Amino acid sequence: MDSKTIYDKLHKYELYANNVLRSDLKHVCNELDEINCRLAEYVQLRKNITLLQEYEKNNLPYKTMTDIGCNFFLQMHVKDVSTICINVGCGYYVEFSLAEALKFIIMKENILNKNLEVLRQRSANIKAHIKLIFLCYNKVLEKLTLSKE
Amino acid sequence: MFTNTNIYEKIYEEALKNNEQTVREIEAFKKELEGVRQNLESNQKYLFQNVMAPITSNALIKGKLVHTNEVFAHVGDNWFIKTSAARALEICDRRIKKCNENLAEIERQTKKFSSNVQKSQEFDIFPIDDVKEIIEPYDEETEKLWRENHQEKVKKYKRQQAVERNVENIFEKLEELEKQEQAELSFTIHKQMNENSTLAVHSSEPTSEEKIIQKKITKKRVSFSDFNKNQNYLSNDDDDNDEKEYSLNDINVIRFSHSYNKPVHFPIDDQLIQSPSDIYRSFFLNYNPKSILKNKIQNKQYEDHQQSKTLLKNINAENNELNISNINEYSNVFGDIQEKQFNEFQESNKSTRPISSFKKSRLQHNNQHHKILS
Repeated sequence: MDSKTIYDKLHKYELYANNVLRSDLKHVCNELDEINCRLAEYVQLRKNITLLQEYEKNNLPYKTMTDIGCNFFLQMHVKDVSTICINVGCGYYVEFSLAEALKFIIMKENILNKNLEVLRQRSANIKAHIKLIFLCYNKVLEKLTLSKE
Repeated sequence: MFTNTNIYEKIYEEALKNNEQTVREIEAFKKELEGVRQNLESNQKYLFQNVMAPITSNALIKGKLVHTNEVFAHVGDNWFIKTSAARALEICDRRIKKCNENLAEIERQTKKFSSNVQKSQEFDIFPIDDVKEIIEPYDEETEKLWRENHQEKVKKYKRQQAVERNVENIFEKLEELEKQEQAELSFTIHKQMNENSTLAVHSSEPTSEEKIIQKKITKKRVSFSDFNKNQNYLSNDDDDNDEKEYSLNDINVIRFSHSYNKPVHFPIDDQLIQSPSDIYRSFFLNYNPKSILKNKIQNKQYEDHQQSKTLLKNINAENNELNISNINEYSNVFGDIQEKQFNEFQESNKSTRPISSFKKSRLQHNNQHHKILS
């Protein structure tokens, strides 16, 4: 192959690695962050629900402070701790008993975890691709310089 | 590769983007605050209120808001204040106001930035095509070397100049001295000639030599430093004969002489009045105009007075001696009786009130005037 065409191809690969793969990686990383956040929220909710279950067992009113926005808190009493409304997506809330809610949340967590795994796999792939491209790039360059000499 | 335009515009672009982001954030915060305000206002009306309260972002629970007039407001750094709803509303209002101010400030900034970018594009501050950059290389070491070289050169030049100046000065001084010597010689000759010759010689126009002397004299400047120098030379004259010549050359001698024109004496005529002095001569024969010097007449009077005093004293002393001899003879009969000294008493009576010298002279003058008139 002509050395010029080799250089052209090398340039193309470099551009691909920098523009396409790197942007993909960024995108995947953002998605990962988002899912992690959601997962963290579900974990938090699970903990809350286990707490509420204890209140339910002892038949106690649940006293708490609720945020009405901008860190302004008001006192709130919850008499009935047995039921809870959970967002099931698209702005729909379903009223669950606490045990059901726990089941739902665990299911959700599993889904999110699987999502995370996929995304992690993808990000690893992209990273590997980028690395491979640059390794090859280096080797080809070395060979070219050697042949020139 | 970045050109200047790219960098310039990119910076402003980034700044504008940042501003947009902050505006969005602030507006969101403002909206939330307004929501809180509404909530507080609505809650104020009731003692308690049934709500679906959020537990985390994706779960709600049926609850009841109690103590609606007690609000915990976050004031930063995880500190909360327990206040009434009204106070909480005030806090909200303040925060909204602050948000508005910030928004105005950011708007001003964005306007400025955008106008800057626009102006740069309009006037083509960073033209891309057909422009040569002016590049001046700067290397510290070469610059240092150059400076050292330059300093040396300047020093050399100045030294050379100084040497030239000195040589010139010496020649100038020698010439000057020569001229002075000549002038002095000519002056002495001229003087001798003048002493012998008549007035006619002097009245003739000054010769060229004389002119030179005059020029010399006018040229010479006399100052105190010169004077001191001359004095030093004079003092040295007494000690050393060798320095005499040198000092004589250096002394600036100024010679004075009376004019050779004879003073004109007009014939004195008592009748004719030609000058103010004649008025006195013709009318006030015995009167001289008053001078500011000490008055002769008064002086004379004073002296006369003194003389008469001493005479009187002598006489008294003689009388006293006589008296004492008389007293000694009759001391056994009359005891120590002394005659009263009559003369001194008389004298003290004589002295009148003091008259000012001015008044005295005026009186005298008046008397003379009367005499003349009569």
